[in-house]
Amino acid sequence: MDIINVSNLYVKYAARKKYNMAVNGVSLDIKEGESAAIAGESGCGKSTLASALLKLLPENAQVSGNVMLDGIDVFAAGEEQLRKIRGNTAGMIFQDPGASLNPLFSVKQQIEEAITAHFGKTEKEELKRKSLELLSDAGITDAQRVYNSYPHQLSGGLQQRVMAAIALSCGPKILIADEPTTALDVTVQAQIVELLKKLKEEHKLTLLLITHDLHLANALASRIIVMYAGKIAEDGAVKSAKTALHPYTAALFKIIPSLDSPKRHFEVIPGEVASAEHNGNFCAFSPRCPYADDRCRSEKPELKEVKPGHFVRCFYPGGKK
Amino acid sequence: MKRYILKRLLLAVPVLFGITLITFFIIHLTPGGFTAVNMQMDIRTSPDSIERMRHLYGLDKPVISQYIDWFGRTITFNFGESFIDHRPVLHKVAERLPATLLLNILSLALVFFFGVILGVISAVKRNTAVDKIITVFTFIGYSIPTFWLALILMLFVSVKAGLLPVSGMVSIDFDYMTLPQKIGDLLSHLVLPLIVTSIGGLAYISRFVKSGMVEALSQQYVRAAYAKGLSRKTVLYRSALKNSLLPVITLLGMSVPGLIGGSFIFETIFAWPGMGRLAYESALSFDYPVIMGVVTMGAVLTLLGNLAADIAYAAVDPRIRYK
Repeated sequence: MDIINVSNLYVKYAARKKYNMAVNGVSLDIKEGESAAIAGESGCGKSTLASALLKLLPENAQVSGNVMLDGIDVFAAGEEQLRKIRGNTAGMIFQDPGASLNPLFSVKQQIEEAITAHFGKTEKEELKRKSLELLSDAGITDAQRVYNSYPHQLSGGLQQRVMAAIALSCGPKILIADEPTTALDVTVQAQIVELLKKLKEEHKLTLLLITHDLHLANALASRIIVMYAGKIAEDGAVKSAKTALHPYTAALFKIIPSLDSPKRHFEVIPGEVASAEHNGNFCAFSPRCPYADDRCRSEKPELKEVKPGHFVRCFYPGGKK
Repeated sequence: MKRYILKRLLLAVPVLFGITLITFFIIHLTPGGFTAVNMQMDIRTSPDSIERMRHLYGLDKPVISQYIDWFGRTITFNFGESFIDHRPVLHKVAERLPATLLLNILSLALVFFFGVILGVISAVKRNTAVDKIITVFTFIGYSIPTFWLALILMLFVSVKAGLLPVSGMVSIDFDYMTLPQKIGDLLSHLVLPLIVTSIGGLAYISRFVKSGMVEALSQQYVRAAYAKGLSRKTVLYRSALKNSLLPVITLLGMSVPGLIGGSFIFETIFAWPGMGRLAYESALSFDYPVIMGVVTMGAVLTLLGNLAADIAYAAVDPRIRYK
């Protein structure tokens, strides 16, 4: 059964007399227990999509389409139902854990307010026992100290672990991780990746990872959804540039710097990121695509299933030429 | 924390010393002086009697030794007596203080209470009609000349409509009233001065709280709080409000000296028997002991206010508490 079901999602942000399109018609199904990663450059709409799943969009956002989480229509949900979706159905962790924790409240307060928000008033002892259990579950060895700390007293890695503990405090089925390692040290990144793997197994979570880092996506997810200009460009089990069917995905793999590479400069994708506004009759990636021809510049490709379970929005899957 | 407070208190001593020193010199070096204003206007006064007067009050000594004398007396809480009516400075201040304190504490409470409420409403209902009405109101409140507002209110509310007393703190027959009547009389005299003294501050604080709240609401932790499944009420009034009130603590600390300072303009317009007028009158007549007494008390309160604000800050913000 599909636990996440997005159909025809459009999100635009109102800005002085016009709208900026962020998500331009995305449909997506994610099965229970699956780990999927949404990848793409900044501005491709991946974070907007993640926020839309929990209706966490800013006030100036306008949405159309449909999002179902575990059978509940998110956009039609009232405040109380929405509260249940956030926390009980899906937990979320964010990019910068230091900014995601309220600086004026202790870890104890922030984790316990999440528990009481969903389970109602709970006895003090029970709250504490539960919080400590969640913290050690999130790989924190000195849970007691962290429990009594304030966010600024913790390292970035510990802060992200606390965020994970909070996100899982109400037993969600889905964990949405929006760039969970971006603000962290490389060594800490690896630890958080291990933690997310472990939590996914132990809690039988459906994991939705939002990232610009295809390595990270591959480390955590079996399915990669690449977005470009507010649309899905490729969706499937892509492991490397060779298995990528969309030239954009291949390019994203190629620009990852490698220590073994003899090259002394970074690869880049030429040109600018297309805005999701783009509605012309051509492929949004064609201006930057090495394989683009007249057809790409005069016709709009649709998302097609090229192999079983592998979709791509390109006339020449695999960059055949 | 105790060490911090002690350190701050010790540091306050040289600051206080500096404030009094500078004030003392400015007042004593101002052209004119006590004898010039109070005696030389009268052509019958002989130079000899002026000299005797200067000697009597110690004004013939060098300013520095006058300061040392004054300082020596003041640290024993002896502020001396007024040159004009020879009543102890402390008595004169004690007489005027209640009126000023009553007006200013009420005004401060009103300003912060309603300022925070208006600011929060404005931020939460941003870009709605409610927000725009509050914005217009605060804009007018902030830019209106308060002395003019005072006169207009007196004219329309008190003189033309006769709803409230024009000026003063109590009516002439106050002493013959029963207690409830006394309270009613005092309150009716308080209304206009309170409105006039509060309106500017109210506008200021509400703008301040609004921007703090808008800023807090745009923070990632607010989004994270929603993502946890907290209700809108909890997010607004627990997660965001506390953060937006941090700067207000500083403002509150800065308002403490204003509590006894009073405002000369309002006190004169409303014939309010407060500290502002006392300070002004004594400055005009070069009544050195009274001026210095008022200044010293103001300086002490300023320093204590700042200290209190810092302590309150630490109490609210763990980032300062556990440094």
